[in-house]
Parts: sequence; C-alpha cells; structure tokens
Amino acid sequence: MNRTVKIAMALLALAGSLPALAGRFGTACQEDFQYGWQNTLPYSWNRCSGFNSELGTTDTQIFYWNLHGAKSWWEGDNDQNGLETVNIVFANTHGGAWGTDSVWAMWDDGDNAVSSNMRLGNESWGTMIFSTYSCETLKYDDGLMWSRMGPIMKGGLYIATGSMDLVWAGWTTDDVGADYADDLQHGVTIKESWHDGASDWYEDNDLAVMTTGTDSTNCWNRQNGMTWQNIAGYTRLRDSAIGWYCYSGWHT
Amino acid sequence: MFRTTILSAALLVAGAAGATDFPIRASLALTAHTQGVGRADLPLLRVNAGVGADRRADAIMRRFQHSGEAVTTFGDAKVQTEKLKTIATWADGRRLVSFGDGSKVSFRNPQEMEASAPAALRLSNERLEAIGRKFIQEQLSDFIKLGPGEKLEPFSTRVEVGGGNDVSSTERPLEQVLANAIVFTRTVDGVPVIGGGSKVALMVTNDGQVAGFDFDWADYQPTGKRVKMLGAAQIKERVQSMVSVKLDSPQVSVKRYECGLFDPGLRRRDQGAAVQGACVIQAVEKRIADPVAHLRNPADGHVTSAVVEVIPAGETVEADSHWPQAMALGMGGGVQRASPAGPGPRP
Repeated sequence: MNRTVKIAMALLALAGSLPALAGRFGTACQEDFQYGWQNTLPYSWNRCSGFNSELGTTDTQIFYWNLHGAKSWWEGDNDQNGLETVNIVFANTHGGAWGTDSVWAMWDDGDNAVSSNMRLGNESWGTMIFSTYSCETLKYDDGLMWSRMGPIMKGGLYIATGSMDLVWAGWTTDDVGADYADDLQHGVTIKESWHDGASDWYEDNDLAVMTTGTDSTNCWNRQNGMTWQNIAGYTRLRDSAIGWYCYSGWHT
Repeated sequence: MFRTTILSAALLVAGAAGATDFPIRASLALTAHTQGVGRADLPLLRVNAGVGADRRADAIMRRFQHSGEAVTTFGDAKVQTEKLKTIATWADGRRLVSFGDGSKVSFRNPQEMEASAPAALRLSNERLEAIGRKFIQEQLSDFIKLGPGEKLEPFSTRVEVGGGNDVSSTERPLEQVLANAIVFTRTVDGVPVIGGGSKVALMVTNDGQVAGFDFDWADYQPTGKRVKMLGAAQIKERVQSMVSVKLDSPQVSVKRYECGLFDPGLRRRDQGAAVQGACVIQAVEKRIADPVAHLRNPADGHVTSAVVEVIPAGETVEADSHWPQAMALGMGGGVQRASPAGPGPRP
C-alpha cells in the first residue's frame, strides 16, 4: 500500500469517527396527482415526514416540497435551486424505466422528470445521495442502467438508491423514510441503510443502489464503505473521472 | 355482478407464486382464490409482551459471545440504549439491534458478506432451508419458540446480486451473488401467518455461513374466541370495495393475493389488538405517461405504481387502532388514515 493511499484511508477512518457535521437534506414527495393522471400514492406524506422527523434531529432540513411544477427544479439549470441545494434528497413518487431514461412522475398531468435531462452533484451544494422510493428507476437487468442513470451520475453524485422493479406503497410501508434516516444517523453504510430501511421480509421490495468509481475495485469500495458521516471524505467523481459503475440489488 | 366476475377473473389469472417461494407460500396463492383463508373460522390470538429490548439484547450477546462463526458477539461492543431500541456495535461493523419489547431483533456481520460468486451459484431453496433450520434449532431456539399447534415453515428466499461495468462498455454486466436470504414463517394449526410478524430471516453467504439474522417473533396466546371467516367470493367483494386501485382495469395486475392470520409485526402492532384473519393483496398498475414513446416501443412510456393493502377476512372484525381497514370495518366507518400534513410547493 503506498503512502498516499494510507493517508487517504486514515483520513477516511478519522472522518468516520468524528462527530458528524450537520448535513443538509430535502424531501420531495407526492401523494395525489393532477386530474388523477397517476394513481394516488398511499402514505407518501408519512414516508417523507418520517424521514424529516428522524434526520431532522441531527441534520438540517432545507426543503420539504411537493411535486407541483417540480420538473423545473429536478432537471436542467434550475436544479441548483432545487435538488442541488442539499447533500441528500429523499423522494417518493411513481417511477418508470424506459429504453434510455429513468422517469419520476411529477404532480402535473403528463409531466415526468427524465434522467437524460438531469445532472446532480455539480452545482450549489452538490447532491451526494439521491434516494427515491419509486418503482423501476434503477432497473439493471436489461444492461441499460448506465444509459439511463449515467447523465445524473456524471455530475458527481456519489450514490443513487431506489428500485430495479417494484416498491410497495401502503400502510405497511409507511415508515420507510424514518427507518432509512435512522440507519443513516447510526453510521450504517448508505447501501445497507437503504436495504434495511426500505424492506421487510414479507412484501418483497425490489431494492437497488448504484455508485461510480475509477475502476471496479474503487467502485465497490465506495459502495460498501460510504456512510452519511464519512461520505464527504470520498472524492467526488465527475464525467471522465468515472471509469466504472456498479450496483447491488435485492430480489426474490 | 359483471364487475365481480371481471374482478374474480383478474385475481384468478394473477398473483401466482414466485419461483423462490416454498410450497406453503405457493399454496397460499392458490387457496386464497378458491377458499379464502381456508378455514370456516380462525382463532383470535393475543400477543404477549416480550422481555424488553435491553434484556433481549443482553441475552443474545451472551448466547453468541463465544461463537467463532460469522454470527458472533465476541469482543467489546458499544451499547446504546434508546427509547425504542438497544443497539450494540463493534469496531469491525457488526451490529445488533433489539427493538421495543425485544421480540424483534436484527444482527449483521457485514465483513462476512463481502464475498461473491457467479450468479449461477445462488444457493438452492433446499440448501438454504437445511442451513436455516439447523441454525434456528441450534442457535436461536431460546428466542424462536413455538406454542401448541405452531410450526416453523420455510416461506421464501431472496438474493443480493452485484454487477457493474466499464462505463464505455455496451456489454451487459456479469452478475455475482453477494448473499442469500431465507425467510421462515409460523403456522398456527396449519394456517400461515402473513405480514411482517412471525418471520425469521437468515442472511447466508455463498459458502453456506449464516452471517446475519432478523426475527420478529412474539409469543401468541389464544383468547378463547374464534371468528367466522368470509368465503372466498365474499372476501373478494370486500377487497374490491376497499382497495385503492381498480382491480378490473386492464392496466392492473395482481402480483400476490394471500390469506391467513395477519401479524403486522412489532412496530405496527396495536398492542391491545388481536391477531386475526386477513388477506393481503399486492397490485401493480402501469399507466401510459408518454403515448408516443409507448407507440414506438411497448416497453416504454409507462409509469409504474405498486400498492399493498391488507383487508380483514372475518365476518366480524376486531378493531385495531394501527390498521386502517380493520378500524373501518370494526368501527363501521370508512377507511381512516392518520396522515401528517403534506408538503407545499417550492416557493
């Protein structure tokens, strides 16, 4: 192990052991949709307010917004006044995976935020963690994950958490946000926090996480090592600095 | 009548068991359609309070303190007692959490779960069942106790996979198996417990080591009361009237439809309420959001929603303050939801 790597690891370990500085978080959620263009999403307010209440005991809530007219602050240049103003975004809406796009349903009739129009991590505070309790948006079984999510990750986003297929909405999943935030606060890796917080052993949520790296080893080290407390100690990777993407998924 | 027939057809052609389901779960998918809960009546079960989170955490730490296997509590742990749980953590990443009254516990040894194997080497259901039964019998028998008429049955398996690729490659990534999981449930006089309660899950590495476990396992006690169950057709009518999606829509498919005794688990349970018969329906709807994209490729242009609902199956329903549908039926009102304030738009 060379000296630079040793120093980097020591700094990372130190970052993990220090009292965490308050992070900035925001929640973007929708339960009903204009003219019923999408199904009501039961208990969305519970998931998001649970995340706010839990993480808010240690960190700083910057926004809790619904998705009325939200396409403008999810996509393009104006995301610096929306998603990019926080370190972690937790969102709950319906989702989909198309040929080369992941999409998230907005409240407005027919509007989706589209991944090819999104780039996170390069403006304002620079989003680090993008967590969406939405179906399909981290689909990987067709080999097109990078085509869909690459545009977002290339801005320097560290990790995306979501689903490669289905996540269930109902009374029995209303505490997903609170549980996820609770694990994050306790220093559990972001990957395991998502898995633990957003799943139980009956309903079979299909969960996935995605990270980038300079190469395969670097990608997996980042995915298996990043916590809410130490994430800032990892290098932000953008555009050509990204050589590899890697994912983990849990399914039946 | 026509609507009921359509609904029945939709439920009958969907909700099939998955390939990783054990026979008891596979049979649930069949019997729910034709027999409902499969019994004329079911007992009401009281849930006994557990010993407490800290006492249970302490007992588990003592149980595994000398273990040289992946599930071990050997070494110094930092123990935090919080309002709703007790947490023990070790410097190498091991973590034990005991919740509430101690009937729900989770342990992970992440360092033991970093190995991978080719996807084709996913452990079989049979192997996982054998590993799981042995571990529960030898290591968890102090905590997973069975009352009269109760059995432990394998329910389903899950897998954690990993993959990735050079971002310049257009090849499909090769996937690896990172971990396996097996889930057991409880049956009471042959009736499975559905929901998050009465579950034991074991995380198993590809070389067959148990490296983590979760259980949500309370002691049940009969109340002496039994409740008559609705027939299959009546349950379907009740389901149709209470679920939030239109089950007869061509865009809707039912992934699971299962009936049994329903236990939502420690954290959702109304401690004063009884475990009672119910059916769980999981339905998926794909709505076309971009007709042009959908026309170009039928796999594109949709947005997906997935809804899970729990509908009581008894002729009479016991009130349960945490369960909206049980409150609606038990108290004679509509489905009441305790919903926090929604967010406003971005200013």
